[in-house]
Amino acid sequence: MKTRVLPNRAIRTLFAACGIVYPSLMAIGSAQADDIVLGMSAAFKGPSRGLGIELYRGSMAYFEHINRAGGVHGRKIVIKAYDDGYQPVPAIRNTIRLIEKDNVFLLHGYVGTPTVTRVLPLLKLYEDRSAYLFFSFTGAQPQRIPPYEEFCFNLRASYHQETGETVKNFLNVGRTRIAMFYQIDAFGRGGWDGVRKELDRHKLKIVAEATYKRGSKFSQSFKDQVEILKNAEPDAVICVGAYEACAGFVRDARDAGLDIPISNVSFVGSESLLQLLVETGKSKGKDYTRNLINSQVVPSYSLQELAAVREYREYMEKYRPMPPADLMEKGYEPVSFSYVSFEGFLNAKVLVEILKRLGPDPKKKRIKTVVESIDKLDLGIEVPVSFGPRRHQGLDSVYFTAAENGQFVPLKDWTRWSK
Amino acid sequence: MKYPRLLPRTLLVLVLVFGVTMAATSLSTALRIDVTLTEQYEARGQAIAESIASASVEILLFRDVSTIQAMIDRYLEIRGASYIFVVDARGEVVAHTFSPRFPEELARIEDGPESPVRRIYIENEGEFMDIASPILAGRVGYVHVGMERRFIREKIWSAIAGQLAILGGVFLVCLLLAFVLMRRIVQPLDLLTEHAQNIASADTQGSDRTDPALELVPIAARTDEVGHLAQAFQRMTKEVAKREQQLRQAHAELELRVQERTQELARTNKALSASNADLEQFAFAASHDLQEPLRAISGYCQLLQRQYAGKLDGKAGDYVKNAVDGVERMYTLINDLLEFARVTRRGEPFQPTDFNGVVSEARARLKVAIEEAGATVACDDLPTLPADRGQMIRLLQNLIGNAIKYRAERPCQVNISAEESRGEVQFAVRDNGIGMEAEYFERVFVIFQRLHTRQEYPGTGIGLAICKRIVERHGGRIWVASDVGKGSTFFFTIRKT
Repeated sequence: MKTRVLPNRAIRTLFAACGIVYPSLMAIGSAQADDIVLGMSAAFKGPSRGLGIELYRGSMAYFEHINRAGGVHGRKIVIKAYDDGYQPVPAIRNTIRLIEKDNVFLLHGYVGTPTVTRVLPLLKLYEDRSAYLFFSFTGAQPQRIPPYEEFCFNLRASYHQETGETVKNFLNVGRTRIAMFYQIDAFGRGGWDGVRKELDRHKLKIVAEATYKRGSKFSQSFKDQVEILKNAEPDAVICVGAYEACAGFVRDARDAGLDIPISNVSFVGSESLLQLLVETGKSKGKDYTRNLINSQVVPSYSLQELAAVREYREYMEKYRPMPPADLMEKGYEPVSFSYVSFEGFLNAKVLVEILKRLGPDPKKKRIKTVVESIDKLDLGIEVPVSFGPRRHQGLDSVYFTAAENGQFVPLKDWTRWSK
Repeated sequence: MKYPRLLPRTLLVLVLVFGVTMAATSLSTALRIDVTLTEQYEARGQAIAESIASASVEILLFRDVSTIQAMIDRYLEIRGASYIFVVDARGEVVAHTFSPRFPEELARIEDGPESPVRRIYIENEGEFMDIASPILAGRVGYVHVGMERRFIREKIWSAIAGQLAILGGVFLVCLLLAFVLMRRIVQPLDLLTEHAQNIASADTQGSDRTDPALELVPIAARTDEVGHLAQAFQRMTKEVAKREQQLRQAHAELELRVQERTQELARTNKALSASNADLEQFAFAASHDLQEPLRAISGYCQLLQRQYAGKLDGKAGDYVKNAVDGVERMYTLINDLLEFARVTRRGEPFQPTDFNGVVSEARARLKVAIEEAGATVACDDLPTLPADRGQMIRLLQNLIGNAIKYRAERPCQVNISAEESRGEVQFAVRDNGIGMEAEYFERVFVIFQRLHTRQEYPGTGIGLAICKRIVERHGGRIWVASDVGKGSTFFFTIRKT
């Protein structure tokens, strides 16, 4: 291809030129010269829009609180956000634009594995500008391992940890025939790999696997996938996907009489998933929420004893933040509280701490050193956050929740699924 | 528009030629595209596989499979690549692009050191070319790229469809051209044929149609063979017309001349009959009026003879005697002339007449002459015909009388016969008399024409003229055939009605 022989500069100019074509993608508010601008590319439209919007709202709730209190060292924190529709190519374009044109201080709040995985090489490309990617809403491996881990900081546990923990719990209750339903891309593959590796430790294998294509809708049929898994007579299914497809799969599995426990990972957006299943259940007169497990990387926002939860709930209700209207499609109903927005909230909390530590004259070059110096930071979730030169992931905890009475509640006892 | 009869044959040839061409080109195109594209797709698949394989080494060794997945997802956007999957060193599929499942057909593939191109049929997906490429000589794993054969088939079909569309278009144009050309040839030929038929049939009477040659003018203007034919035809048509015109003119002239002659003839005829009537009138009147003074002369001469017998000398007696003879001859002459005139003037209407009776009556009137000559008059059975009986008696009396009069030295024999023919009866009066030369056959029927002197045979020379008149009055003809010294036969005809 021709572009291969073009110098990097030419590519950058090309992408920048493309970026100009999207004047409607407005950043929130009007940034002042001394504001700290954070760049965000996420899904604000399409089937996965709930993730981008809720993550934004969670972060913005905390930033709003800080900004109203005078900001960090007198500087306000602003999020410059673009929609990528959970698609890799727009994510790349948005990132180039954020770095080159918007000259953001750092990248924060990206959503999705296929998008983030493709954006990673840009971080190397803009190494001289110290473009760091913070707290992406994905548990994928690429940004946690060389060569890109040095440009990335994660707060949440990885999919490997999530799925690994899930497998462990299923094995503990005697469910050894694990089947998988996953999105056929880097995200699904990451989760699949976690399951596979954990099973491998116990000399087990995935008994059956079915895939779906990214962007599939809830309205589509997942009967083929259900059929493939059902034939292997599994004890449990681990899903690694987006909420529309996973909800569709759960619906068709239950309709086909497959009543075994089905577990989803944090990325699914458990509230959105549950909402779809509850609505369908109401119209069909059937309970689709039974035996539904969701692994989480942040504690449940229902645990009011946690200081962070109390803060989160307070600021969310108080500020009710929303992304700029022209960034979204019409008709989105925000979820009051969710694991996604809680994660966004915690991300923001860590970021503010980092910005504080950077001092009144924050320099991008110092970001890495400052972050790596954070040790046992208390966020108010009982578990401390620590970073280090060889540790670019702040938390390792995986929390489990189960659907009960139309919402996910912390799951403490797996014995109900003993076999 | 007339449908050229040559068209179906031309059409058949066209269809055959185009059909064969289409089939041949389609087949050759299909084969060529299949071979070329298969090679191309194989090469492309190999390039993709090798490129993934070389990039996968580090990823598989140092990083995770989701990076591999992200990479193969990207390669899948290359056209022709329908699936990609990566197998690790243990033979386990660690990344693939299938939904909803990884096909069993591919799970059965066993990778080896060489990487052949496999043709694999996957249920519900189609036929694929599976191209494998080893990662680090197969120690780390293998990359498989599937190129769907459907793309090749689609290309083949679309190429064939395009080709057929072009050929079809050319075919239609050829068809149209063939039709037009055929019409340009056949139409003038049809026109020529039509004209030829017109000339051959109805147009001989000279219809008021426009000159057919005129309609051929545009065709004759052509410089090709058809044009030459039309020109020749034009010349022929003109020539025929000219001849016809001449013929008609000659015919008209002839007609005119005939008419003129007929008129002339009628005029002459009229004048002739007028003068004839005058002449007849004169002859009748003269004969009639001459009788009176003649009777006076005759009476006085006889008186002179009787009362002065012996008183006159011998010489005077001879003179008187000669005068009496002359008067007698004059009588006969006048009577004959009167009789000749009366044939038409005093004729009786025609009634059925028995010719046997007629002959008997004539024979009775000639009784003395017959006996004197010792002649035999034989007669066949004769028919009954419509005629003037008196004139018929006169006719036969004159003919039999002549036969006796011009008898030879041998005993005189007269035979009367009749023979029926179409619409008339031909009578023959045959004798064995002196006969006559053929040169006199016409003359004998002319009045006052005699072949002999009065001294040889007495007579006025009117008898046969009267006969002729009688026969002609009855609408018949009279003629004679004769051999000198052997006898004569007089023929006449009488109509049956």
